[in-house]
Amino acid sequence: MKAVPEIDPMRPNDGMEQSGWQSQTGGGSDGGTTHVLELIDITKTYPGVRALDSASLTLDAGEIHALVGENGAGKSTMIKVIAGVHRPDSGRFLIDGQPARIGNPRDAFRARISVVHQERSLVPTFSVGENVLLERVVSRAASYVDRRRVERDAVPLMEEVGLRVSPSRRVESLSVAQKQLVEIARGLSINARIILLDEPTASISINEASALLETLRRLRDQGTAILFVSHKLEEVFDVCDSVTVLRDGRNAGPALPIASVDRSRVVELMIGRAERSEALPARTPQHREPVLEVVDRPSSATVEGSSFVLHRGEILGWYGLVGAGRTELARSIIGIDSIRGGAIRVHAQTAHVRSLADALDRWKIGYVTENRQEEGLFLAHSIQRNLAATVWPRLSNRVGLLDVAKERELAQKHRDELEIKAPSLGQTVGNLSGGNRQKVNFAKWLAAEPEILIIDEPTVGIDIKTKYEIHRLIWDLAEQGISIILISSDMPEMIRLADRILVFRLGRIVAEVENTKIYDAMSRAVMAAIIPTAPSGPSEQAISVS
Amino acid sequence: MNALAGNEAGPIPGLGEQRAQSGGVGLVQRTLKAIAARSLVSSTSVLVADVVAIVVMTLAAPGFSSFDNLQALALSVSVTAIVGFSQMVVIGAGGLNLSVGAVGGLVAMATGGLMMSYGTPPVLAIAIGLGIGLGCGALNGILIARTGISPFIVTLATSSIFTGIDLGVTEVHPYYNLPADFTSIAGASVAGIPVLTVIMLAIAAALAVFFRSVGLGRQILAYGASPRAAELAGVPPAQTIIAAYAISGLLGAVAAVLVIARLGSAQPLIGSDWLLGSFAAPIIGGTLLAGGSVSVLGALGGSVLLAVIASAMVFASVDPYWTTLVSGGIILAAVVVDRLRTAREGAAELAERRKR
Repeated sequence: MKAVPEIDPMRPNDGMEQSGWQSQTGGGSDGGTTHVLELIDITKTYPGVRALDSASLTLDAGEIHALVGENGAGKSTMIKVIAGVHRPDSGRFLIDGQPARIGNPRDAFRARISVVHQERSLVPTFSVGENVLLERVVSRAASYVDRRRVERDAVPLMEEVGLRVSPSRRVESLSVAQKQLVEIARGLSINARIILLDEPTASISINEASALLETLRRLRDQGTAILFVSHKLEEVFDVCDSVTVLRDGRNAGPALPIASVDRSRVVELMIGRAERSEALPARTPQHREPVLEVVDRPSSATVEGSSFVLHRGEILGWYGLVGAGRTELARSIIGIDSIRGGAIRVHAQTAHVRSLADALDRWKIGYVTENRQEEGLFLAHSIQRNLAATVWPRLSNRVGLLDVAKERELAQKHRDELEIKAPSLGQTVGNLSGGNRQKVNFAKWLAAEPEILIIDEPTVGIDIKTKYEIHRLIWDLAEQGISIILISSDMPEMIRLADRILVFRLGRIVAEVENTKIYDAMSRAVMAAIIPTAPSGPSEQAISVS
Repeated sequence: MNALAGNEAGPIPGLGEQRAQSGGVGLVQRTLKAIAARSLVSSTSVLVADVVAIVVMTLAAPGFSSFDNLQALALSVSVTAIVGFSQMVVIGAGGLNLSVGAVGGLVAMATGGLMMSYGTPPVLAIAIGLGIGLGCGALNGILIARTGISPFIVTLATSSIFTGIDLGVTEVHPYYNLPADFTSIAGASVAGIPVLTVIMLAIAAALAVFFRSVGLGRQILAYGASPRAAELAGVPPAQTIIAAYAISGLLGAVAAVLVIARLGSAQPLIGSDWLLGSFAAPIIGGTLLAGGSVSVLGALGGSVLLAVIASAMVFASVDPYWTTLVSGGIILAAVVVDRLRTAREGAAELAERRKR
């Protein structure tokens, strides 16, 4: 195991100050060091998009290597090339210095490359244990599968990532966070030499994330080469040894030891200029006009909420660990899940919200889902179609036919307002980057002109620049008088945006905290409510597993 | 957490304990709850329905539990169950097979014709018949996997093609009086159980093992649940689809051979009434229409339920044509029950979490 790799001596210049830096690697395997994995001048083009443009990446045994970049910079494409999901148009692929042919996921599996994909890649009807060891279960047609044994063998891996459920439980019954943990456990399962993780911490709690990082460190120390893709630069600086920055499908500079750079330098490489971390202007929320009142424990199948009030123009934060019941309560307010007992009042008028359409048309409540891929967007449809989906009735002419010109006009307006980057409004949403997808998701609800907007985990898996844009957008909406419920597990985001914070724990609201926007004090107050017995020290201490 | 039992249900374990703990009015409710909780193992409910239906019929119609009637019932269940399995395999793979009856008809006529017109020995004729079923199924699979056209369209088209070959070649002449050494398998029985039923049970057992513990079976289900996830885990998509449809074709062929053995004749319209039942049996039994999860025991239970209800209607002198309506009603009811069950799981989960 060697330490942090030096910048390849073969490269004629390592001057990251030079703006026009391009990979000029000849064949990196000579010169004494054999890299575990080496991708040289990889180009990959999709129809209309050059996702990777002569990008290079080197991984060594015993290092955690960060791959960072904005949305659309080519990180996920790079992962998919290594994992055998996509074949590059050109470029060289070396494993241990030897040319390797990874034509499909099975080749990658055989080469002991394991992947935690950003998109869900679980079989929902299989058990947790089978999913953790899915490759073992399904890789050969003529094989005997001892399910109990598979499930038993999965337990140590589940414990490793802090997944405390029965290995025989069906994956479809798990929460989003638990599914993510299954994905991670699966990534660890094949005794891999190379582990690729694409946004592994996007939907899990702080404790789970820190347990994961701990696991990665241990695997690194055992000699595994780890590629870590994350938008959370805190994590990158916490756990990684070196970093490759991609920008617009190219290397923004050579790989760098993490110790030699700081956060602002990395951000600069990512976005091509210095980070504008503009603070949001102070807000003076007026807690005078209650817009939404939820009274006396309305309960859905999984939530027993206490009462709360949302005022006009207020940003009310809902914080809690993933699975605390926030999404469930939101879904019951907007009429997706049924409510038993209690009452909802909108503008002091008792509201029986029967359906999502009812919530939107009659009570002006919109819901920006956390599950963009499955619930928020029609991935196969155009931007224009997606944007107008909430307001089709309004865009119809007298005989009920859709007025396409009006639809286009509306879509154009929102695209410009939100700066959605796409060649045309006819672009399929599935081909957009994560950040742009989220903008479309937002715009869709804004088109319906809601008075109350419930926003669920708006910046999960979204790059810094877009994240700030979305923060600004939420802030603007509140200034315009829209009342916002912000569900977020991202503490800095919560403290940055919320006026008040409701803390959820196991399906109940356990505390209400006025946000002073002083990070340390606030995070301590909120964590204290979540973990009532937390010691006075650092409260986010990871629960040790293993 | 009895989900380890996976797709197969045992008897209802919690029942006895529940009864011991409580008495009186709460008993029924608790029992129902216990059943609902176990219904994650989704074939349980159809088995309960089977027992109820059989008990009701035994009490209501004295002739129902006669040996002859039960044996006739077993014979008819044997064929519908295998036809149901044929559909279940492709549903599990996320597809469907509208040509199940057409394959059956073609195989029936081919097998009968070989024996009657060419004097082919029964064993060879059966083997060729099964081979034709396998080939037809594989053809479906190849077309679906290679063209990417939906199974609905492909099997709708091939259904017509297979039926066309069947009717064209035979000119719709039935073959009567099939050789006695062939039809004798239908009359034989082992310990009172007809051989046909034994064959069906053997196939059921094989399929249960196949889907639970054989790599290909798991591949089919993984692909049916999530093609993307399956592919990422190394499941070869085309191979898996082709295998599933080939198995479906083979099972359709088995059903056809059993039918002509039982009837003693091969008629061109065999299979033309299979389609509804082929979906009804597995769906009633808890096979997910969306793919990815099958229940062999459930499909068997579904076939039993359909057969008992058809028999009940005979006893009640209802016009047999109405059974079709009842099958449709049962499918709808089964789907609704399935939905309710899923909704209840969420609540049970939180309660469990709180307890810890």
